[in-house]
Amino acid sequence: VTANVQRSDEQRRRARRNAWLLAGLAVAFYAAFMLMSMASRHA
Amino acid sequence: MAHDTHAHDDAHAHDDHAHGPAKGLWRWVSTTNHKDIGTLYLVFSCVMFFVGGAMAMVIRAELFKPGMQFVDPAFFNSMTTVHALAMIFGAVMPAWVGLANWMIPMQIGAPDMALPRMNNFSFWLLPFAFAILLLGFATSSGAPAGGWTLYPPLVLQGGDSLPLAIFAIHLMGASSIMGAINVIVTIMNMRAPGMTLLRMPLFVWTWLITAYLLIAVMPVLAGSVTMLLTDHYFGTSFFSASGGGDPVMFQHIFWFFGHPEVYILILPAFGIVSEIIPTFSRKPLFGYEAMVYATASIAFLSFIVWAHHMFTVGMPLAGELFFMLSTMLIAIPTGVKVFNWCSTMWRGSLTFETPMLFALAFLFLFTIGGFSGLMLAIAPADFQYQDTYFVVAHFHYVLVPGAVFAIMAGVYYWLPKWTGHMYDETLGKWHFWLSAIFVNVLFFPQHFLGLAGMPRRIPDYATQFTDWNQVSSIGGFCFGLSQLLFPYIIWKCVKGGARAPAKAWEGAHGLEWELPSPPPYHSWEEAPDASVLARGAEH
Repeated sequence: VTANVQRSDEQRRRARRNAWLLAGLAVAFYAAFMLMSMASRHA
Repeated sequence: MAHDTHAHDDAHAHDDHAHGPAKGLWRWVSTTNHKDIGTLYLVFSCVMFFVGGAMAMVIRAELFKPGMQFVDPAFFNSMTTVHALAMIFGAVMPAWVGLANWMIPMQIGAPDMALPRMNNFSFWLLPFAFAILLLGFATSSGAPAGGWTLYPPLVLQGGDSLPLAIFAIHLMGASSIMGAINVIVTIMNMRAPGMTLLRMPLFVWTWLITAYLLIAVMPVLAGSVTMLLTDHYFGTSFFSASGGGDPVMFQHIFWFFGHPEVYILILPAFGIVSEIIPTFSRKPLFGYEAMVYATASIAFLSFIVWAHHMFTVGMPLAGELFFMLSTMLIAIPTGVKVFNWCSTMWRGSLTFETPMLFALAFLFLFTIGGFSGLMLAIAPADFQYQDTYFVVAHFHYVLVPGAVFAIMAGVYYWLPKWTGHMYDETLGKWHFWLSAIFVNVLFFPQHFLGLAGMPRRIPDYATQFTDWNQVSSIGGFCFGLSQLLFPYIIWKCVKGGARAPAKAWEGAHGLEWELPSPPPYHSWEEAPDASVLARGAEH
């Protein structure tokens, strides 16, 4: 039983877009640190 | 999906049984309701608090006397490691997410969290994550024992429990990131009309900033443990000098996560204390906007101080100076907060119910932890303190009478709202005084032990450290026992007690107090109107 969470379709669209943006940001941080670590190896 | 648009009066709770909670166990497995998920998080956190607490009791029992008493050294090291992971990721962080789930929608006038199904998923990852972590005890090599910081090369000698711990950390990280996304989207998109950012309660503000910290640093932790995994199993050498890598790089990456992480654990505590002190002082919070900016400053500074955890690994003098001074800068916004809380109480009409007592203990004892943090920030002095019990005393002061006391303050503060009953005030005061006395008996002597040179993470010690270890252990056992009161008081309050009015505390302000106690299963399906908002958003 889910509440009628979003007040409008526009709000629903915005919520989804923001959520994906933030998830993308998290993945980008993960990738950035892995790449920086690879680049910093001396051998 | 059916929904109605009744006004939020007491009758509403009787009208909407058509979309109340499902029955039985399935309700808790399938729920997308923010109140149910908040309860799940809080119950999980309470269980992990006692699991981690039991491990702390093993540690204190072993350290009661020099020599080996009860456990072998490897198991002792597992206890310190898993105690930390359980308390940080299992007890404190889920407690904050639980409180966020319960309170943020009610405080900003939203009907639920913005992404309710993801909310369910992010909770249910946690029990599996901790089951996997604790499975390490069943492996032949025992649970992870290299410390919660997982430094290589030591941690890579850990055996079969290492991949279990890494997978568990990945799951916890995914859960935290989803929780953080949900909090940000809820606050940015779901505020009731008229609830502008600078009208939001401080708990919402501190959680918003915390959520951004989580999104920035949990992937960094995930990256660092992924690299440990590939170093151990897939032939890479990120942290192995023999392959051109650098073990110190792990410490830099870990603490780039680890320092913001400690603010993730404490910023929501600042928010809760900023709600409770004005209520029981019957005055608006002193310097609301300064509090918001101070929180944001602390969050920003948390990204540029990480190497103060590793002064002794060897770094250029300029690096030591930079990290020493940037760390000391944090005292400025933190001081703004402490003085604002004091100014809020100044000439207020104070009363000392249990939430206020816990908030005041937080104020005094967290400040002690802050000051010992400043001592540790002084790089030359840190060469003496590094890896001693002084560090253990410092971070337990900020995390136990800091974060944990604030969680307890928040639970006592909002229990009447959640359950519709007042908790037993006498028992609450007993819980407070026993906790406040014994937490100091437990942790204060550890400052002396550290300054005298007792190293951390050892199961045995030289005899000159015996006396203060015994005092600390007695404090630990008494503190642990007195915590049993907490679930009992909550259970008693859920079962019954004096009826709580909508506004359970005379001096309280906030939209949550405009809802009945307990609030209907779905609250604020219609946004609060301007007059309700004006009353609720007053600060």
